[in-house]
Order: sequence, then structure tokens, then C-alpha cells
Amino acid sequence: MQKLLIPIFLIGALVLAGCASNTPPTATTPPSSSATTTPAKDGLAADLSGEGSTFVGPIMEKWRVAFGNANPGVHISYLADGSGKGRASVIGSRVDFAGSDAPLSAGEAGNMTDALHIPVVAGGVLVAYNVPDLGKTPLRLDGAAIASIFLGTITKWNDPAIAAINPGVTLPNKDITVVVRSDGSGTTATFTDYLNKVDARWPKANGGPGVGATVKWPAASTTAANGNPGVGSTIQTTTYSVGYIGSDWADISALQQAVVKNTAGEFVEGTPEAASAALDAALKANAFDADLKGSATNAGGANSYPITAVSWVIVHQHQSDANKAAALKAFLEYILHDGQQLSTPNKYAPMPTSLVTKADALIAKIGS
Amino acid sequence: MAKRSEHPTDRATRLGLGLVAAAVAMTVLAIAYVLGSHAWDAFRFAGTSLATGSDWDPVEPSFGAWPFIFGTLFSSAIAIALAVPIGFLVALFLTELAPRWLRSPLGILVELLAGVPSIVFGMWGFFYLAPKMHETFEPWVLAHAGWIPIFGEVTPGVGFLLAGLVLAIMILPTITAISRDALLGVPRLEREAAYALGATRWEVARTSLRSAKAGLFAAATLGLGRALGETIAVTLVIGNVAHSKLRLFDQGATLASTLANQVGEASDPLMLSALIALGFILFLLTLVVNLGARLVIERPWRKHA
Repeated sequence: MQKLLIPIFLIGALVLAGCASNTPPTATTPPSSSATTTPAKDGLAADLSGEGSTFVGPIMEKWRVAFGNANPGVHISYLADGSGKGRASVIGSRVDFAGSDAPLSAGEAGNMTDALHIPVVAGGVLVAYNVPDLGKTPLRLDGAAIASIFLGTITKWNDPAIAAINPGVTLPNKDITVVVRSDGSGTTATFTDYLNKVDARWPKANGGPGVGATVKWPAASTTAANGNPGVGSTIQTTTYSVGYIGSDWADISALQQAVVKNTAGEFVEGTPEAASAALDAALKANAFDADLKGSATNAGGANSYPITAVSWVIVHQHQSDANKAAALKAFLEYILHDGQQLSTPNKYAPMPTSLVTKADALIAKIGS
Repeated sequence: MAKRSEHPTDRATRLGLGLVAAAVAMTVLAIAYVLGSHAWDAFRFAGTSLATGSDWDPVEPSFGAWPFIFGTLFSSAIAIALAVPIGFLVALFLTELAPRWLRSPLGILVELLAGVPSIVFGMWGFFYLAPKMHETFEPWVLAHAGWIPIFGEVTPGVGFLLAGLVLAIMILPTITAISRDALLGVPRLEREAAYALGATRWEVARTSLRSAKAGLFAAATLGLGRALGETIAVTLVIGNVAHSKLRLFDQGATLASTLANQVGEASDPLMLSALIALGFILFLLTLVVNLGARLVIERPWRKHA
């Protein structure tokens, strides 16, 4: 029911902002061209069901339609109701694949020993704000400043810590309102994972909020809203607020976005390209294990956006039904190759080739 | 009781209706059992601090639901305080004062309001009322009456007061429609007798209110039940922060809103159990509030003269 809220919210936000729809032109692939980019495989016939991440939801919708058009024998469904639910369902084999913003936890992995994690999409978690005095030039923020704001130790926009990294910018002497996600979310997990790495005050062991899809926010001026649309609308309507938001949100261009300092000392905008660069760098720095479980936050490289989220498709390696196994393999191959062309137009970061090679090896393991 | 021979259709009716009634009772018991058994892990983990503790931190993990219990009661109390007087007065107007041709269209309008989905009220509160609260209403009140501690500080607009307001509008049609029916049930003779004694309209209205007491109580209780359990609209307008201060201008969270917010990504069994425990607490709370209200209104310890 809660996930039903998000599209409704989005429509409301669009209507109220009086915005024309800014749907990317390539959003719907015509059947003829998808037939050329999606080579049909003969004899595929199976029903595949998926469930999980809402972040993956919009692009999964494009993928399943394009793949289904090219392979009429395969029917794919995907229910975007949260990563946690998707993981629970795939562990219990109630669905064929899960979309998840996090790998299986240790406890979950114990109940699914043949799990394969295939990264399918990435994206930046943006730090968006509403400070009318600042105009269009993006504010520069680093990990310590973001952590201090969300810990509540920085409470004013003209705090010396923000001023020091924004020379020449006149910052207003106004109280900061912190906007966070009220619903459990992979976006929150990525954001807190990043802060956990860059600021010693953040880890649970040091008395901080720690890492999770739902955390206890310490800042006194925190307000929480549902989904990216809720956070976005709250930032829009609350002057001097700041929040974190998935870059896939349709209306993101209406908000001011900070550029965030990466490990190379560069201030980078959270574009799909910068998220892909972060993923590539994280992979090369062995931040992902052989099964492609890992994290792309705070990655090296001058072009990397430091708060980068990765989402996986999680499947059972052993499939009892040969038809399903074949269809699942073909679908995942499509996602990682031709399907990646749909990523950037839909504001997702495509998988770097270094990762696709490794993912192909995992997909090849799927068998009956 | 002396039992006479029963007609077969009577027996069938008795058995059939009894079965339906038993099914309802069984459903309630089954809900209590399922919620209770799934919440057991969380109760064993947190003990009584699950209900009395104020620290809700799934990462720790630490589960204290007091802010949500408080938020549920506080937002519902605001809603009842606003909606009950207005609802009763509208019902009085509809039954006593409105011109006859106006009664039925007005009544239909009120019932239509009851059919509006809660998400619509929530969105109206979030997109329209919240900015107005933040920019205009809260600063104005604080400038003029800020010394009264019940108000607090300027919020982003969402908070207990907005949640109570949205809830009040949502439960108003329920309260109005049921109390109107209760007032319509007051014997015509009683009213005419009052008028014959020279009573004013207001005095007659008061007599009617007294006669319809049980029905009016049912109206308020049904409204309260809806307010306690309302989820989506409240989630949008309450702020979803675990505060538990008696401040109209402060953000909070309710049992239902927390459950809705956190269940999607709750994969840890203990956290899931704690969320189900919230449902169990809400179930108990509704039960206790209803029974309590019934005791207050019926006052069984006071013998009627």
C-alpha cells in the first residue's frame, strides 16, 4: 500500500509544481527497434516473477517490457514493494528473482546458500537543498560537513565548516532543517554507509546512528517524508532544508544539488556517469568480492561520485525448471548488455564493462 | 430460562446467526493470537521497555514504542477534540434547524465526504496545508500566544496539529452521519412535548442530545477507532519523528505510520517482530480506549435513579 503512494505522490508533485512532464524521449522503445537491439532467443518459454527494490522498479519495467516484446514466450512480472520483501520472497522461492539495494545479510545468506548477486544498476544519492539565497551554483560539501549536518552538530547554513569549503559564497544565517526518509530504504542504507566510512562519529560503535535502511536520526531539526517524492516535495516546500534523494527521482532538476568531495579531493556532481565511474573504481579497488557483493560508496578516482548506490538482482543458482533457468539467463544477459542502453536515459548509471564481464560469469552458473 | 419447543426455522436462524457472530469473535481472537505470537520475539528481547522505552533504533537494535503510542493517542485526541463538537453540531443542524429541503442533500454531501480515500486527505494536508502551517499559521500563533507551552516551535508544517486536523476532517463524516441517525431516533413526542412546554430551540436540542446519548457515544467511538488506526494520511502529515512531547507544533509518529514506513525494508526477523509488536500494541490500545470510553459513558457503578 505504501508503495502505491509513491506514484501518486509523484503525480501530485508534478501537478502542484505545474511542471510539464520531462519524460526522457527514449523512455519507450518502439517494438521494431527493441527487436533489433534485443535479439530474440528461440524456444524461450517461461513465466518469471520478481519482487523487491523500488529503486530498480522503473527501469525493471522498461526491461521486462522490451525483453517480453522480443521474446513473446517469456512473461515477466516485477512487484516493487521494497528490497527486504524481495529478498524474503526469493529466499522462500516464492519469486524467481529479487531486486535488492543490498546484498543478502549474513542471516539471510544462511537460508539461501546458492544465491547469486548480479549488479544491474547504480545511481547517485544526491544531497539536495533549498536555500533561495544561493541560486544555481551548487554548494560544495564534504563528508564531514554532511555528517555534521545530519548529526545535528552543524545547525546553521553559515557554519564555518560549510563556509571554509565554499570560499566567496555568502551563506545565510539560517537554521538548517534536515529531511530524511521516513520509510525504510536502500537510499538511506547507501547514504549512511557513505557517512559511516567518512566520519568517525557515524559508526554505531562510536555512538553514532550506524548503517541501515532505517536508522535513528540524531539531528533535532529532522523531519521525515515518504519515498524520494516525499523528501523532494518537503525540500521544495521547506526553505533552508537539506535532504538526500535518489538521482532517479523524476523531478530532481527542480531542486538545488550539492557537489560532494570525493577521495581524490574533487567536488563531483551526482550524474549517472559519475556513479558509473565510482562503481568502476570500487570494483578495481576490490570493494566487491568474487560474487559481486560489495559497496561503491566513497570510491577512489577523480570522476567518482562518492555516494553511489548499487542494486542487485538476486537469484538461486540451482533452478529446478530448465525453461525458467534458460529464460532467467537470457533476461539477465539482456539486462547487462543491451538493456544497459536504457539506463542513462532513465537517470540510472550503466554498469561499467569491467563489471559486466564478471557478472556474465555469474549468470553462466545459473542452471537446473 | 424455561425452554419451549422451538420452531425449526427459528432454530436454524439462531444457529446461523450465532455462527456468524462466533466467526467475528474468532477473527478478533485469531488476530490477537497471530499478532501476539509473531511479536513474541520482540517482547522477549525488549520486555516492558517495548511499551515504555523511548529509543527506537533498529540498527542498535533497541525497540521502545512509547513515542508511537504517545503520537497515536495525541493525534487522535486532537482529532476527537475538533471533530466531536463540530460533528454533533452539524448533526443537530441537520435534524433540528435545517430547512427540510436542505436536509437530504446536505446529509448526502456529508456521507460523500466519508467515501473520499484517506490518501486524498493526506495529500491535501501535505501539499496544501503543511506549507501554510509552516509559513503563516505557526509563526502567527507563536508571535501572539507563544508563551503557552502547548504550542512549541515552528515545524516544517507537518506535525501533531496537522495530523489531528486531517484526522478530524476524515472522521467528521462518520461522527456526523451516525449522530444524525441517533438524533433522528429521538422520539418525536419527546421533542414536541418540549416545544409545547415553551422550550427554545436550543433547549430542545439539548434534550435531544441527552436522549441520543448512546448513539452519539457510538459515533464518537467509531470516529476514534478510525483515527487511532489511520495510516496513510497520518504518515504523510505527522513528520515521522519519534518525539513524545505534549506540543501541538512538534512532529511525531504513530504506531500505524511507523509500521507502514518501516515494514518494506525490514528483513531482520527481530525488527519484523518488533513492527508486528507495534500492531499488537495498537490492537490493545484500541481495545482499551474503547472499553474505557464505554465505562466512562455508561458509568455502571452509578445506579440510575
